[in-house]
Amino acid sequence: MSRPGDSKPLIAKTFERAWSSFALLMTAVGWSVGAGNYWRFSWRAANYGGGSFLLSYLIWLIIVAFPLSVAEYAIGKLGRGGPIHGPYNLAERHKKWAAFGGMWMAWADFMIMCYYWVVTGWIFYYMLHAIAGTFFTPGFDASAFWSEFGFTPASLGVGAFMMFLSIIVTALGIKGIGQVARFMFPLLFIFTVGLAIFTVTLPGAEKGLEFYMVPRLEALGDPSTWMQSLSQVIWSIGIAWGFFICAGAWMRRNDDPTLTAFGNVVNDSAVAWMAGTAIIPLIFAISATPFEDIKQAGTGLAFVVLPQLFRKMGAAGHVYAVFFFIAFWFAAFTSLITIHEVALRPLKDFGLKTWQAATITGILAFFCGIPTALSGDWLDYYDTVWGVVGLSLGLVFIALITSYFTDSAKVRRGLADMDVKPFIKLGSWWDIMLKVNIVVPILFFAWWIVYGEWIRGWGAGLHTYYTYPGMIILIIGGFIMYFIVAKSIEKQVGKTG
Amino acid sequence: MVWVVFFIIAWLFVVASFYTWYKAVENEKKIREIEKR
Repeated sequence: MSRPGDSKPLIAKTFERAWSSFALLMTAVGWSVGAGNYWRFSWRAANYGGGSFLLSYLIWLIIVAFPLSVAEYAIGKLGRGGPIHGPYNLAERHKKWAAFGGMWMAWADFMIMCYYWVVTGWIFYYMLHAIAGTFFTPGFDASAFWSEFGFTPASLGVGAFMMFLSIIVTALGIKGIGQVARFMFPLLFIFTVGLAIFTVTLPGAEKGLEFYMVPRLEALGDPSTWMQSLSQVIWSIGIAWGFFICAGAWMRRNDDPTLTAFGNVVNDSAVAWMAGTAIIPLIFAISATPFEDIKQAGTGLAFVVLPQLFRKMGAAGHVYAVFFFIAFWFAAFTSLITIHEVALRPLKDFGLKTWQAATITGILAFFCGIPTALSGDWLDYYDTVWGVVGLSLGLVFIALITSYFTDSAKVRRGLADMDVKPFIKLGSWWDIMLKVNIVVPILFFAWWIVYGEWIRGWGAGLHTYYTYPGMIILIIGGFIMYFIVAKSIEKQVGKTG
Repeated sequence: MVWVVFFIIAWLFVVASFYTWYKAVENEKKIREIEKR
């Protein structure tokens, strides 16, 4: 059977890896689950509508997350290549734009790496303090502990160490950490179930649970709720970062992308939802002014709340905190390595050695990320431009590549070319969802901007003074990248004939 | 109300997650059988 991407590949590469379906699922989920599930989910959910955020999150899972995760795996599996080569090989028309779409994802991935090392550093610092027992000393003040560390030179130093470790691991191609992470994910999952159960049994937590779980109409009418939950879905699951293109390229013929994509969506969302259940209701259980506390904690919400949660557990909390933070750090660090591997992949594909690509991207990400290590506003800005706008555009590219640059029915047939029955049968509904996803992120983005700027007042929804220059850089950088990618492809096609 | 929503979501996410773990193991068994043939 002819599969899309069979004709004229840019570089005919076989990435196929000898792993079991379970190992593939655990690795893919291990990539998805990281700092985003605890740090970003609780921060965004608590600040953007609680139950309304959760409801819009669930809707995005169905409309965006599953169809586009499958599409991203399809690009890698059928295109047989990384973020640039996979889309180029799969597309039947506008091949250079398809390659640019992949490059866009790798670029967004790189820009998110610029602040991901900062957050990984925070988790590492908290892990060391969990081991040392700092959270359990008498008179420990979690808010003061966070404000004395977060966004200070100490936080920059610890983050720099994480970036250094990431360069070493990716440059040397150390595989052992990924294998350890495969066992760590189920552990983290079970620890998080335990934390969520503990929180909901605390007196006073029910109020918080109500805020977190019951949608309010007025928040559903606010585009920020929808845009932030959309960005959280793609940020946390890892869609449009280029991860799934790489994983798709590593799949064996009988590996089922619908099972892996569904696994990514439900496992990642389960951890994020349980982390939210552990963190948000706890604030209501321990504070008389929960909304003020949420606002004050800002980006560092999870880091202010988690130590207090372990303290509440009494003597067992110390042991629990140690194991939890070790598993959490592994999850975040393996995600950092994966982000780094995707960011360096285009440089590697265009001829650089692994250690060169790892060092260049690592050092650049460190310098670009220094402001985010020292200022919460800068981190919020990076996260808004890249985490919200950059990734949303990546979604549009995935939908375009699999439904407009090539025929989605052909992609479906290519994915069905297996000896095992697919977990979820893709039908014409999938084709429709792909087409819907070409316009949906753009419409919501437009609503968000118009509402935030015109209706609420200039700068209400965004950090105007620096978000707009960031978006302009994003657009100009995009065009520069397009020409670089197009030229490089012309050269390679020339070489391969 | 809140507890109903809580248990529905818990069931959806947690049970579905464990089910994907089980299906991945089952899938691998089938793939190995096919490869043996």
